[in-house]
Amino acid sequence: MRKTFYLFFCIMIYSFSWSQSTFTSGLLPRIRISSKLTNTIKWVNGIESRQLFTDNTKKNSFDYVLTDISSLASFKIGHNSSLNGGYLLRIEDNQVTHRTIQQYSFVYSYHAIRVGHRFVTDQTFSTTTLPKYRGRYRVTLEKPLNGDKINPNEFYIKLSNEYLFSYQDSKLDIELRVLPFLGYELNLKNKIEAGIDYRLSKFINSDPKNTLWFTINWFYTIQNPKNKK
Amino acid sequence: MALTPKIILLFFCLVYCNLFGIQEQIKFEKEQRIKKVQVPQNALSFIDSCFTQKKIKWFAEKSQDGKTFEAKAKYNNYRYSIEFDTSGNLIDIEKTIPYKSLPTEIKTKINLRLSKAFLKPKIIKIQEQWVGNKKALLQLIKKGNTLEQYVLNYEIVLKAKKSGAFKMFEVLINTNGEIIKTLEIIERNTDNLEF
Repeated sequence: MRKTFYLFFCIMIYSFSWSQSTFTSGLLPRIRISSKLTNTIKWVNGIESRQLFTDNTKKNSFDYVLTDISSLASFKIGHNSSLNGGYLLRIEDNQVTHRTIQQYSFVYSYHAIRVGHRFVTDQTFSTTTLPKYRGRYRVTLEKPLNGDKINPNEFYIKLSNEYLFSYQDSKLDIELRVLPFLGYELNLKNKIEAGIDYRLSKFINSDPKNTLWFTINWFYTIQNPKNKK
Repeated sequence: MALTPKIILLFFCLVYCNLFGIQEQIKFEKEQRIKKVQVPQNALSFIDSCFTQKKIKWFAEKSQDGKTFEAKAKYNNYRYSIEFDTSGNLIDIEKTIPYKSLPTEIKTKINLRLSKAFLKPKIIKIQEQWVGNKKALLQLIKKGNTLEQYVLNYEIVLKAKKSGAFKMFEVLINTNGEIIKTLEIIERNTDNLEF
């Protein structure tokens, strides 16, 4: 019964997302470097780029899209929660876009899994478009593939689901994201994850837009010797 | 009293501990899933006598206490970890329990001790640790009690504030509320769940 339900659900999603919709796919490599400044403050910098492979609305779709450079300050405020704020600079078609970011996140550890919740608001400004305001929530689950804990040189799986609400030019849009990843913990400072970042947007009152990014994440931690413990 | 070398050494030890505080040992533990055939026979026999279900997970574990074998099983809705030495001799059994299920007297002793030893402690996980002979521990699993002698301790994973930040600790505490061992757990980075 459960299998039938899942199959039905998958077919529904599949037909819904491919009928008269736009589809783009590409590569999205991402690097996140975090430095622990004090016991409660972290500085997280990131760079990500997008390379388009296919776009069913264009003839020649193999194209470089954009690069994002971000910098966030993270303040640990409780047992498992933190407040983060920062700025993102987007370089796309020789245009620069600015984004301010506010974030609250918390992580719970259960028997063998860790679950992270992230709430974000951001504001995007550029000289060519009207400001865009977004609210987003993401839940992420991480589970080791061997044992109850993730140790160095071990694989893990990571599943994320994100909901984005955006408001621009008096228009509201909702975007759904599903991100299954296979991760590998090289050591306590390095993690590499590879997977898919599937995004479905503009499905209210218009043809849905599907985007499939093949994503590679590298998380690196710079440990200040004074804050090693 | 003459200042013998032993007294001088003791004096310096006391001064050192008072000046710098006794540092908690860092918990080191690495477990690797193994197959049943890799486990010593007497460990397998004990597990077969404890549990009827087939789903037993076996691990080879390396920690600051050395190399051990560990069986993990779920029985009557409780999670059990049964630890053996490399020859298959039983070391201890740990049973994960809800904190609220502890007797009020024990809860009071634990709370009192933890709030003296830590700043803003928050219990994350609690396990009963049983140390004793095979017969006693088998009866504890099967019946929940025994007339045989055994030692009961509590292994508590908690978060508490240290040096201005919340850190994780594993504390072994006895039924009198005395701390036997404290280990600091180095938490895995959460960047991949937050950013």
